[in-house]
Amino acid sequence: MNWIPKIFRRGKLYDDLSEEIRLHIEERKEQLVGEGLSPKEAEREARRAFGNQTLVEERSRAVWQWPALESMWSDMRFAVRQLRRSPGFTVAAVVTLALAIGSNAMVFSIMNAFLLRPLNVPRAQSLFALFRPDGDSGESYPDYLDLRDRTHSFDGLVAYDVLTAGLDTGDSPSRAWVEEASGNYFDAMGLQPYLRPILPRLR
Amino acid sequence: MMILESLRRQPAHGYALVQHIQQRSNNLLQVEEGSLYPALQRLLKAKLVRADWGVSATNRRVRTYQITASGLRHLEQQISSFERMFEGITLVLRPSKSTST
Repeated sequence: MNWIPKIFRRGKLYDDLSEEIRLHIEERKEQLVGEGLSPKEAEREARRAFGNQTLVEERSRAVWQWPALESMWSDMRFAVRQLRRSPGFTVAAVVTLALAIGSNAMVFSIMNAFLLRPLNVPRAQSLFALFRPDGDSGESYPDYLDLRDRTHSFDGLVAYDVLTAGLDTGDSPSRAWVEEASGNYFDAMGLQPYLRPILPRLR
Repeated sequence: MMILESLRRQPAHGYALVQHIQQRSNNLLQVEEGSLYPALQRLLKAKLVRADWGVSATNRRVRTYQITASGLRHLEQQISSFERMFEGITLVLRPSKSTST
């Protein structure tokens, strides 16, 4: 962890460097004045001989830095300054991002709950959904009964459908999502219904 | 390597180092004076040299660099590998002896 004090020591390192470079140019200038140049010419010549002072300081400081990390940090600071300068744009950007992230999160939560996570039933990995490839209208009930009675591949076969129904709780009837299922639903899923017996065993 | 060699002879500040390198090379090496400083910072970071503020013989405030023990070891290794490389280059560039009969 000896990099922590190094970060705090950097200010001094950079100050030393700047001071050292300033003294270097000054010394050169004085030497040139001693050789007969005017102070102005000497100054120009000393700076020319030294090269690009800003670049030299930057490269020297870079030795003590983590370039990728620090350039990211300065980019972030620049972004914050720009955002502060135009609050209207900032608000619009933040609201847009918040809405986009929020709706994405919601869609993902729904997908996750219904599609990605296995159902909370015993042996969820043995559950399969059967569909006919040539249509989306579902099975007729007699077909379901034939399939259920003749299947040898599964322990049980359940029929279900999702629909909406009117729910009358007294004062204000409302619309509710309902799942209707065949009588063997809980047995086939390996679940105990909370209220039982709930479904009559139909033929 | 040239900086370390100059500092092995005697501790010096940046400006004196530039002068020393130019004089020793009979002014063949005309490097931009500023390019010395990133190199000095790398040596400082690697602890091959150390720097202290002081006063020069001409009564100037200067930051004097001194070679460290690990700097001396590093210099020896650098010189030896440079000499091997230089020898190799010389052998390649030397005109081959004609074996015509």
